[in-house]
Amino acid sequence: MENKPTYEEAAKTLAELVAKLEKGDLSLEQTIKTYEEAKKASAYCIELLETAKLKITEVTDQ
Amino acid sequence: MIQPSQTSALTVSQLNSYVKFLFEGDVKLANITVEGEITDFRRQFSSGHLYFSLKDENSRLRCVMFRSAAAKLAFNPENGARVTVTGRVTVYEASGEYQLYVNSMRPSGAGELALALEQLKRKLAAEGLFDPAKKRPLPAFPKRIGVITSASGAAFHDIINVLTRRYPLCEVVFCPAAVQGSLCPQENVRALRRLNREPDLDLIIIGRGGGSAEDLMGYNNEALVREVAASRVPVVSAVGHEIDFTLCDFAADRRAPTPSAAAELSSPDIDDLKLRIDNMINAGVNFTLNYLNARIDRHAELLSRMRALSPAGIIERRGQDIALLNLRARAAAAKRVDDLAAVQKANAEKLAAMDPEKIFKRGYTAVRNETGRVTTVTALNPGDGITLEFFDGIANATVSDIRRIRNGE
Repeated sequence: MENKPTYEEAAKTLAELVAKLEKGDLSLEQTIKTYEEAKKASAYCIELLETAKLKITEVTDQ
Repeated sequence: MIQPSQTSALTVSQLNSYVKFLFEGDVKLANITVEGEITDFRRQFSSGHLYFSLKDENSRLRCVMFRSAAAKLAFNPENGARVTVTGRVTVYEASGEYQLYVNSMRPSGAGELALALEQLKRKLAAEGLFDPAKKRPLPAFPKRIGVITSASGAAFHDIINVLTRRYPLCEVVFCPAAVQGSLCPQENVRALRRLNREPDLDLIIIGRGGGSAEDLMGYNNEALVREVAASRVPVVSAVGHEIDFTLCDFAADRRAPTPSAAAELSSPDIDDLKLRIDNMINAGVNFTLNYLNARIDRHAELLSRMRALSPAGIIERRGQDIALLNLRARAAAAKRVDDLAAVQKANAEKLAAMDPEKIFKRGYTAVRNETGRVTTVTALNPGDGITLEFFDGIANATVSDIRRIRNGE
């Protein structure tokens, strides 16, 4: 299994899927599939946004 | 060793050498700070050394600043400037003059500080360090944000608070550094270098909260300003408050009035992001629904066309024909019944009109004799007994006279 996509990647995927739907030249099967994927991507984005917690790392110049 | 005696005179060189020896044996003169006004300022172009005197109301002091020290100057000394210099006092044997060999020089007084700052600013601007074309855009979705400020100051907490609220998706890489005092410039330079070695760092926020002009001085340090300008990673400078500008602000890719503001302009707002996601998926839902509706409409149209062509459709239409015929038959039949009824009615009326009783009631009577109903006077003779039939009874009568009015058939 690949690494979990970051928010930016997921948001980009979502934008691409929606653009694909907007073009409207997909077959019915492709449309349903793309729509399901878009729904999944958006749910994932929202989940990332809702559960994100700021990470703080301290480094020194030594 | 020089042995002064009454008999043998010293050479000039010997005396100057001796005086120099005395000067250099003095600990205080080896590192001394003095303040005065510059006069007789001269820069030797071939060597780069600076020659000048410091004076006050009563006295003068010859000074020299070698190129190596002069190169570190953050301002251009000029006649009339009040400066504080540090160096050692020694004797120049060739001329027998003592002078101050200056290691460092800074303007004294607020006016001079401002002047020095202005001069440094012009110098760095001329080198293109503040060039707007050099400024890079900040990434829209930073993953790792470097922060350089004091570990104990409010600035760090302000930045963390803003990022926690707006964009908790990112990671803060914090490298502490002094935000004022003599260590401020070098610690910030080192922190900048350290963070520039971090992989995947999207931007660096460098700064501190507000303070006096003196507190912020470190951020006007030439080395630090150059480091900011040279940073591989884009830098957001947030030194002080709205009105305080430092040279770091000019050299940075973006300047923020406060550390909080720096954190805000470095990060997208999570609520905006949620809205964007919502908008995108809503667009997706709408397009999909439209698509499906268009498909359904097309399907319905095809269905109706198909039905028209199918055997079932044909049968249906035949059925419709038959039903129509049925209707027509029923209408025709109904009309026929109506017609018959009308005839019937007319006959009944005729029949009613022929009812003898009605005729009797209108005043007509029937005449009978012994052979039956008499319909002509020719069947009667005077003296014949006849019966008159009324609607409510009969009367017997005798014919007294006969008169024929017209011939019958």
